[in-house]
Amino acid sequence: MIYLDNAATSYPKPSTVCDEMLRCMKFYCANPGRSGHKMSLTASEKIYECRENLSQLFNIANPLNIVFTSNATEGLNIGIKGILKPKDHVIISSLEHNSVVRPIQKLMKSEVSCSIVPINTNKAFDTNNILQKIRENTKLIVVTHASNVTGQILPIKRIGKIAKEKNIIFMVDAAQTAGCHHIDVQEQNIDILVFPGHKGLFGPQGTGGIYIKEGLELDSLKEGGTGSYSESISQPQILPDKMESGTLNTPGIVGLNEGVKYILKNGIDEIIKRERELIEYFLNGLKEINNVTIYGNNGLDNRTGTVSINIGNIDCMLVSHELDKRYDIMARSGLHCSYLAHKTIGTVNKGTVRFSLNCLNSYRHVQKALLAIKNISEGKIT
Amino acid sequence: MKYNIMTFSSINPPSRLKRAASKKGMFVNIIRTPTSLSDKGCSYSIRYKEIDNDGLISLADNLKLNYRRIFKEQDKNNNEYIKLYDKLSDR
Repeated sequence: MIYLDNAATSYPKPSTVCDEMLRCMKFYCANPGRSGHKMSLTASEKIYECRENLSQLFNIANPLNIVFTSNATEGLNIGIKGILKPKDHVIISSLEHNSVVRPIQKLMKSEVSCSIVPINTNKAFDTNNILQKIRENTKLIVVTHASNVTGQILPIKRIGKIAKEKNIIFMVDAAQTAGCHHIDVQEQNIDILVFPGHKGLFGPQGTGGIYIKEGLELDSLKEGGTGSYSESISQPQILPDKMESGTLNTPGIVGLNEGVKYILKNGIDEIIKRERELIEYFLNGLKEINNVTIYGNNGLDNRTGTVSINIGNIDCMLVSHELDKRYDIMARSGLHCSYLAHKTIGTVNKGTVRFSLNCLNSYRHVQKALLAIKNISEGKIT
Repeated sequence: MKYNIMTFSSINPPSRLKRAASKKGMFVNIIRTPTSLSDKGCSYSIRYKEIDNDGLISLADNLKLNYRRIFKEQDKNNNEYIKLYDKLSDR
């Protein structure tokens, strides 16, 4: 079996992730931050350790500014809905995922306005496009660090600089890059960073988080028990408690912690290097196959391990079905929950077949995928 | 051995303080705050050797960890503590 769907969720996970989750479930999966017995305290301390490791990875000064969520979508909802109020204006890119677009669409019913910065997937990013969209009431800029459709990386450091100069809150959706590309919230002027746990960070599904810069005030999306300030009927205002009502996903977070430790141990540079070698091999192979259209930037710079293609006029759903059934290759076809990105690359009506590699893939995986694509392109579809 | 107790509102700040303290060779335990020392709510404290008091206060201040009060443990069996510091009245 060859898994090339890491942009949706990574597989396999490092064995330490599974081992620690099992150990947690067997020995210390009590409620963290609620009781005083050793199981509960162990759970709490493991969760805190994860905050500290994430802080190291993203250069976050205070680990308590990281809030755990169930996925990146929840984090994006916390950030977007926690900041934007009626009459506010927000700027997004034309590569955004529905998890950014849909919460904003909902807010637009309450007098929030939105501008979309067009991204030319074949040209270098022009920051003037952002500057032109800024208004007096622009409160927030939200951009994806990398497209989940084309793999294109946006220059968040440059965008962050603009946001800082214009005193606009800068929020980055790192769904495709957390754990596999450089993220430094201080150097890149990121006020809010949202990340999933189950993709590049190698945690299990049901994990994710949001970093909120010190002093930035966001409304909470949910209120309830936090294990703190129980004498008060009002929601605590300190982070992470303010945003973490209800029991946390302890086995998930301890798994995420092991995933982050794996990244810290191997080093982000090594992970990028490995991914780059594989994607170079894949792209070079794709360019030699007739009838294959590669969408977006097909060079090696400023990209992730994600590539979207179509093969002639063959329906993308049939291609992925064939890849699965005949070649045991897992890829994802369709619109990838990113209508806006597909509109940008002109594939709204047909979708694409997306291959997403990560550092745990091998040359053999890529060779098999290329052979399968070649066979399909030559009409050898069953 | 004499011990002090530093109280917090939540599990998170003492978790941070415990890890930071251990890196500086100070051993602390996280405990549920005795009811008589808390504001009736569920809160957590660190319990540590009296000798580490200055070091831990300094560390907590450096990390901007919002502790509530500090007590000296007198007689646990009789619920006797001496308040050394109270954020509400001292700051």
